[in-house]
Amino acid sequence: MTKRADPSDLDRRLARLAEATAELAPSGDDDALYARLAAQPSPPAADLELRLAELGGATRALAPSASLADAVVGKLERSRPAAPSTIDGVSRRGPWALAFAAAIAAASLGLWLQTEEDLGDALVAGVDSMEVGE
Amino acid sequence: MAGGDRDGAAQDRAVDLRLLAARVERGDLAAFRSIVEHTKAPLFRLAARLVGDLAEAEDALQDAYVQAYRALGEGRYDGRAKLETWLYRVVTNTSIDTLRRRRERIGEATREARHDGLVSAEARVALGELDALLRALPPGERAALVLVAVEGLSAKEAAEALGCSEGAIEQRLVRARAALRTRSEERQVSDDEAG
Repeated sequence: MTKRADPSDLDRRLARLAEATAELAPSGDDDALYARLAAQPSPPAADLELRLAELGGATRALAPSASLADAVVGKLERSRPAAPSTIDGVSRRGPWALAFAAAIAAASLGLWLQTEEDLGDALVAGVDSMEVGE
Repeated sequence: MAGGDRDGAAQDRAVDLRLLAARVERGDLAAFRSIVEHTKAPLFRLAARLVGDLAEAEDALQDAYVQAYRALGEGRYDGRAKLETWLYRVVTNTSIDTLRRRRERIGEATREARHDGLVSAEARVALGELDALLRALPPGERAALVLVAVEGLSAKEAAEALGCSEGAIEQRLVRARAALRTRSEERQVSDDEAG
């Protein structure tokens, strides 16, 4: 047979517990509150979770187009910069390349004219010496 | 990341993908094509569930892969997370951008890609129902709900995918569920009045 608690003892104990818990206050931790709310869905929410899970299962068979990889690679190739050509090189070096080419052309022309003149002089001298010999 | 619906990639395949990623960093487009072929199925499912439309999902996935290729080329994948996890994050963000653009241009059809994959009628109907159910939610709340309730991610994994705190995910879930519950109750009332 168990001993029954004295009602006055019980009242005193409840009063002590009330005093001991009087300072309890919410922690202000909203994240923890939201986590608990999220973990305990109400009945309609449970239905919603179930339906979403079912829709997840029903959409497992979704597949991309067979040409997806080709489309991606095509986009990447189109967006790649073109390989540099000789013309690109000349236009990048710009004024320096043009000045250098002009100087080379002028020097070549001068050399050609000088050679032409020397050759003419040599021919004239040759003809003169032949006439003197006759 | 251990999502309930993603393919359980074997460790050796993960190693291969990292090697492929290293080759892509040196500009190897063929290696990137291999990455696309290996990862496209689960990532397409993710994009489709997030945006709720096959053609828009195809578009979002293509954009995500282009962004991923550039990021790999610029050395922005540090290799700390598995490549699949990193790509999962890229696709999630691209899909959210797609949802935001959709809200900005209601009624306009500016899709580039067309989806011609083999999809069962049941899967199409289910995707349509999922989109109708979630259409009214803001993109961030919709994404949180899809990642947790449809993809089967934990709050921590969803937070990693969306680049926010777990607390933010929980808040979005509470708001999304409350909005859907309210909508469902309103529809019930209007059905009762009509009946």
